[in-house]
Formats: sequence, structure tokens, C-alpha cells
Amino acid sequence: MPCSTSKSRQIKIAAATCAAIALLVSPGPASAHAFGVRYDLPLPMWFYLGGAGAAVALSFVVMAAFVRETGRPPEERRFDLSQMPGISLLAHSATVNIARAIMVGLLLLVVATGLLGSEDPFHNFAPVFVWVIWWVGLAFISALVGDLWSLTNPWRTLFDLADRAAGGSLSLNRRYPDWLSRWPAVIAFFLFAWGELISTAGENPQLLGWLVIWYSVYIWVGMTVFGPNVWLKNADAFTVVFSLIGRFAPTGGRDGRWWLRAPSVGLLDTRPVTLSTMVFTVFLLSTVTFDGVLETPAWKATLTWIAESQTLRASLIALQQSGIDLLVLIKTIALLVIPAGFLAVFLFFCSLTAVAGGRRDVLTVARWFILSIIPIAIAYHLSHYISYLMIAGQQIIPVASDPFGWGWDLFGSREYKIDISVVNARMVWFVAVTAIVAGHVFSLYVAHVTAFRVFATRRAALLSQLPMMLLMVGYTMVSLWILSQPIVA
Amino acid sequence: MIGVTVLKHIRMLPVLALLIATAGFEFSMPGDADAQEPKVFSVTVMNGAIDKKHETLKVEQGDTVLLRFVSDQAIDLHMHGYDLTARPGPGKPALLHFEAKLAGRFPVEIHGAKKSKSSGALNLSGGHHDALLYLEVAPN
Repeated sequence: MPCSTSKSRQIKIAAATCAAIALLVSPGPASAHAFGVRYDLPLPMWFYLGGAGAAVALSFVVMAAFVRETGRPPEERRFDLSQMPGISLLAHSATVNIARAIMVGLLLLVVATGLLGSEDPFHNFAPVFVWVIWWVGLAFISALVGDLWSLTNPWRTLFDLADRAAGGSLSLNRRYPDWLSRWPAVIAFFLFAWGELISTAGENPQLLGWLVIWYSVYIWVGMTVFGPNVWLKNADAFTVVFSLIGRFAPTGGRDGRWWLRAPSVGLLDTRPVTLSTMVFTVFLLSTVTFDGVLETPAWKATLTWIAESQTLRASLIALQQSGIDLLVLIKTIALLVIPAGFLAVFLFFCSLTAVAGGRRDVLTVARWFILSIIPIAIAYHLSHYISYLMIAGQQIIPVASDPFGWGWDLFGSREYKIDISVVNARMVWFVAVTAIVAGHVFSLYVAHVTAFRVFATRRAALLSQLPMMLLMVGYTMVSLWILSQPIVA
Repeated sequence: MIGVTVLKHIRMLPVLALLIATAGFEFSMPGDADAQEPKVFSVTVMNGAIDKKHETLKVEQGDTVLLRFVSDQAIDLHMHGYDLTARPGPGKPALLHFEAKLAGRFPVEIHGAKKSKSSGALNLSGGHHDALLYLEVAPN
């Protein structure tokens, strides 16, 4: 009886939250950082408090539910999609190859339009596609559908083609040093985040085109030396990001097989992640938050304080006169400080978790639990970007007709003007709060299941979750707080 | 004991949550707003800045809005979202008269103003995306 109760209960909870999240999938394909403007209204107090209250209340409910958890490992409750009729068509190598060909085409188009096309980012295919459709859109797809990137990575496709032409011996297949782990991806992601959030790469199509070329070189050289799988897994920031996000998704696959599963179950594992993966995830989560923080009045007040500070004045003037852009410098420091702070807070709560559960190896505990924080970040990311995707995403329509900005009109949509009324402000609030509360519940769920794998006794596992619950409530509150702040560009 | 009771009723939880959320949704719908009278705002721009009181103008969706800008310099103002432009200058106020059809928070960008530097503050950035003020249109 307990088994079937917990199973149907979990399915019901999962179904309800899935339905809520399904509302998020927009039919359409800015934040002031990379590209475009955002018009989101601050989340009203009613929604903020309601969301916070629901998160806290549900925390206790999830905890109580786990007191009686006895079912088999959640990862095993999955459905092999190849059983479904119709799926064989979708999964057929022809379909996948078409998707891959399209991705390669898009990569080439991005480079071509970036380098040769109009300097106006709103009328150039490269920035519109990369920042809105690809970076934001693919994150949505990875979280809500599945890790499409690992299936259709254009760099991989092109490498495989060259490899086939070279008779299968293109790669040197050198042994990848273990100590390197995923650190190259960490560095690559930091540079990407810097480029996206701080530099002008968002608004300069030519610069963007060159960055794509340099990154491609980085990827291909690495693949040639170490082999494509190893290099992508450890050095391609995007493979790592989308695979992490994709672990939340209701579909997942490996070695040609494809499963349907409950959301977030893919975040569970039989062993902890590597240190570099943990640091990467911390970075990913903090840049998602950093993005929102940069638009808050609190950040603006910080900048004003710095600008008016008498103590800093002398050093700031000296820096400015030696040619350094102060705002870029301050934001870069913030981009380093915020993840460091995030890591410190996370490790602190992991130490409490470890102690409560009877362990002393805090870093190992941290490497076990880091993935459980991901759903909250995904939920915030979706809430933050849903209207951006629906509004700025429309710019792909005119840009598709005139990708270079040279006056073409391939599909007749060149004169299309963005329609802001597609976004219903109230609906966005509702969806944002529901997503964040749902993300919170998923995070707690993953953490609880993980706790039973990490700690020796049931009691230790449950006790260990109290600090984890506090951490997650805190992170959820921060996310809600950011959404309740008026956007100051 | 409480735990056991909670667990018995846990199946009700998604249904309950949905009911509460829907109720909240309903209650947060306001009644009919009086949209006949236009909302009038008079904004004075001195040296490319305005006083704090006017930083965010709030109206409701469906209101008729009348924004009157007075400036001591010739400047360009552009309201994003609604895509409206006003060009007030010395002795030449500019008016924006429109219906607030779209809900959201819309920045009004300023171009062409020479700002006075307050003695204490450094200029940290080029600030080519300076927002003078924001118009918040609450959904109805």
C-alpha cells in the first residue's frame, strides 16, 4: 500500500507541476545586457508573498512525504520512447541528420551575417539568432523537452564529416589529462558569460562573428587532439550547460536510446559530480542570478555609491585615466565575486548538511547535492526570459527575410514590426510564480532522494535535509525578490 | 500524527494549490477603471535629469495618458514599447498623448542632453542607454 500511495502521489504532483510548466512553452521563438529591451512589470507583492509562502509550506509537505518514501529508484521509472508508434519516424537517422544539417547551416549563416552583414544588431541575423533564439530558446528546450544540443551540435557534425573524409583517423586521440577535468569548460563559460553580460559582443555583429570563429577553432583543435567526445564533454561550455539543464527535462537519452521520465529525475545520479562540474554549476547558477541583479535598483544604487565614494575616487580616476572602462571593470569584479559568494554560501550549507547527516567530507557532500539546486535556477531563468523570448524573439521574423540587413526580402516578412501585446503581463506573473514554486519543489525532491544515497541512515538523511531546505528557500526567495524589482536598465 | 494526517490528504494538494491559485488570480482582477479622464503628467527636465518623484509614472491599461515634457535643453525623448518620440526644447514643451493599450514597464530614453556633473560623482559609463523615466502600465 505505501508503495502505490507514494507512486501515484508523486505522479500527481509531477503532473500538476508539469501542467503549470507546460504553460511556459511559448508558441513564439532583453534584458539590457546582451540585446534588446525588456518590458516586464515587477512582480506585485501579492504574488511575491504568495509564492514565498507556498514555497515554504510545500517544503514541509515534501519533507513529510519523504518520511514514508520506500519506492524503487526514481530513475528507473521511465518509459522507453522507442516503444511509441510515431517515434521511430522522429528518431530516424534521416530526421536527426536533417536537424544536424540545419544547425550547421545556421552556424555558417551566423558567421557570414556577423562578419559581412549590417552593423545594426537589430537587423542582423547573427545577434538576434545567437542571443535570443539560440541561447535563450535552446535553454528553454533543454529544460522542458530535452538536450537537443548534444544531438545536433554543429561543431560535432562538421568534425565527423571531416573525419569520415579523412578515413576515420582525423583525431590524434591523445589521452585527456584527468586533472584537467572540466576546467576548460569552466573558463570557456566564464568568458562567454563575460561576453554576454558585460561586453558589447551582444550588440556588435562583427565581433560576434569573430568570436564564433575563434570558438570553433578552439573546439575543433581540441577534438582533433583528444577526440570529439572527450573534448566536448570537458571543454565545450555549451555541451556542459545544455546537458546540465537537460538533466531536468522529461526526456533523456544515451547511446541511441531515448526515455520519457518525470522532470528532474535526470538530476539524480549514483555518484557525486566532479569538482570542476560543481564549480561550473555554481557559476551557471550565479550568472543566471547575476543577469537579473544587474537590472535591479539595488545594483544601480551600488554603482552610484561607487561613483560618489570619496575613498575610492583616487584609485578609480587613476584607472580611468589609464584607459580602463570603469563600468566593465566593476561588472567583471561582480562576475567573479557573486559566484564566489554563491560557492561560499553553498559550501556553508553543505557543511551543515554533512554534519546533520553524520559526515565530515563537506566537498563530497557538495558534489552530491549541487545538481539538486538546478531546478530553482531553471525556473528563475524561464520566468526572467519568457516575455523576452516572446517579444525580442519576434525579431527573427524580419531578420529571416533580410539576414544581412542588405535590403533583401526572402520571405516577405522584412517589414514585420514586433508586437508587444502578445505578452499578457498578468499571465507572466502567474507563470513566473508557479514556475519558481514548482522549481523549488523539484529541487527539494532531488535533494531528498540524493540524501538517502549519501547518508548512512534514514534518520541522518532526513535531518541532513533541514539545512538544505533552508538554502533552497533562501535561493527561491532571492529569485522571487529579483522578479519583484522594477527593471532599471 | 500531523505528518500522517498530512500524508493522507496529500493527493488533494495539487487540486488545492490550483484552486488557491485560480482564486488569487480572480481576486487580483480589478474592477472597471474609470478610463474616461486622461491621466496627465507634467515632467520638467533640467540638465538632462528629472526629480525623483517622477521617476516612475503609473497608469492602468486602457487609460488615456497625457505626458507633457518641459526641458531647458533641446533633447530627444523616445518611449520604448509604444515607440513614441517627443522633442522638447527651451520654451517649447512637447506632448505625448496616447492610449495605454500595452501593459508593462516602458523606459523613456533621453538623447542629446548635456548633463551637469555633480561635484562628487564620477561618470562610470558612456550611458548611451540612459532612461530618463519609466512608464508602468498595470494590466487590467
